[in-house]
Amino acid sequence: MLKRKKITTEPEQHVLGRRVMERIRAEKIEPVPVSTFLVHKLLLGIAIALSGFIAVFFTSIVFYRIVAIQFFGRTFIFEHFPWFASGLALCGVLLTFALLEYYKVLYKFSLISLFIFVCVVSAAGGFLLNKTPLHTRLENSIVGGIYAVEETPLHVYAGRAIEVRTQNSFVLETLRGDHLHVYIPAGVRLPADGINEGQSIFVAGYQKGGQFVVKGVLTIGKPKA
Amino acid sequence: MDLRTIPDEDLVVYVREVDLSVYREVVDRYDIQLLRYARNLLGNELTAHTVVQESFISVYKNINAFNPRLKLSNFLYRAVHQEALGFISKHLHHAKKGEFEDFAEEFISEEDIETEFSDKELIKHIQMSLHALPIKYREPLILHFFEQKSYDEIVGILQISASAVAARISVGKSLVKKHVETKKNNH
Repeated sequence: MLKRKKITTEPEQHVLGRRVMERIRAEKIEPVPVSTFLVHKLLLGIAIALSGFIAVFFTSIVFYRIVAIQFFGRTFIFEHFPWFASGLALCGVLLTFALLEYYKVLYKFSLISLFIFVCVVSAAGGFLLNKTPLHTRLENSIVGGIYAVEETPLHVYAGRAIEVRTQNSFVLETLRGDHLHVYIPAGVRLPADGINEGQSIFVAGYQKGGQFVVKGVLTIGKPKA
Repeated sequence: MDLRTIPDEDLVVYVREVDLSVYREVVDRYDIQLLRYARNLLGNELTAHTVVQESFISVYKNINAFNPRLKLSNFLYRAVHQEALGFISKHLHHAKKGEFEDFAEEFISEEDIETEFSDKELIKHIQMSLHALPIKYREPLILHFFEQKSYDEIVGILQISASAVAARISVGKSLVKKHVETKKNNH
């Protein structure tokens, strides 16, 4: 280790101290009030919380969508992956990371650790938020529009076929007790045993003209007698 | 009351709450260290003076942001670091490589540095190598080897992770070593 060099320029010391104090007096420099720093900290906290919320909220929408469509297989997930929500979630993650890094909030973390930390918190938060009934409620409320931003808004219902009308249409009684008039357009793969009354069924699709047009049908177990 | 006996952090509280003019004592306590740091960082006496003066003004303005539970010296070093980076980013595109070498020569020619060391040539090469390094590697080396700062203190001053400090010091050391060896071989 190099020795610390000694500088013993005593007059230089006085010059700097004098100059600094002279400038403070001449330019009437005043310390910035404590309240300014508090407001700054508060705004920064709000900005980080907001960007963190964006990351968590949209990550949970991604989970919500994936969980909803996973019953219909891998192809379905690829076809109906929530790209828009994923993009917004990624924006939230990057914004949170940028704020934490720029303002050195967690500077003891390395850049990679910080990024991983933000991703893990967003994913964990999104996963937990998805466990709550928040999205189910929101989707049926006035803010349901944000769920339809996806290119193919897809609703998933589980229930029991109570009336088979034709080969490609039936009435589904959902778990909530609603009756859904389901229409299966050509091209959608039907279950091997067809649709039978009393059978438990998952359907994924969209509402159109009073009907529920499906994009995927999945039967569970044997039809009840 | 003898101001020289008051600990740093209490002195700041005194400046904030009782008498702003006591700030002169803060300047007098740290100007030598900070001037040396800025001079090593920037390689120019005049620039170092300007940067340290601006840093003290900036610290005065932001004195209410200082947390008395932390070390005052780290707060001051951080201010010089930011001021120096600001200066470099402002003037770097005007400066050519040769100008930095001139700064290094000017720095090395000071008598008080040379008399401290037995191997003048080696020190000269080290100084030259140090100034040839990017600021990213130069600064942790200066803080650790010239200012005797611990890794923890450097983390606080540069506000980067401990692993980044260790990596920069390690890379900086190997770059200086390589540079010095090349110079020696050329001789």
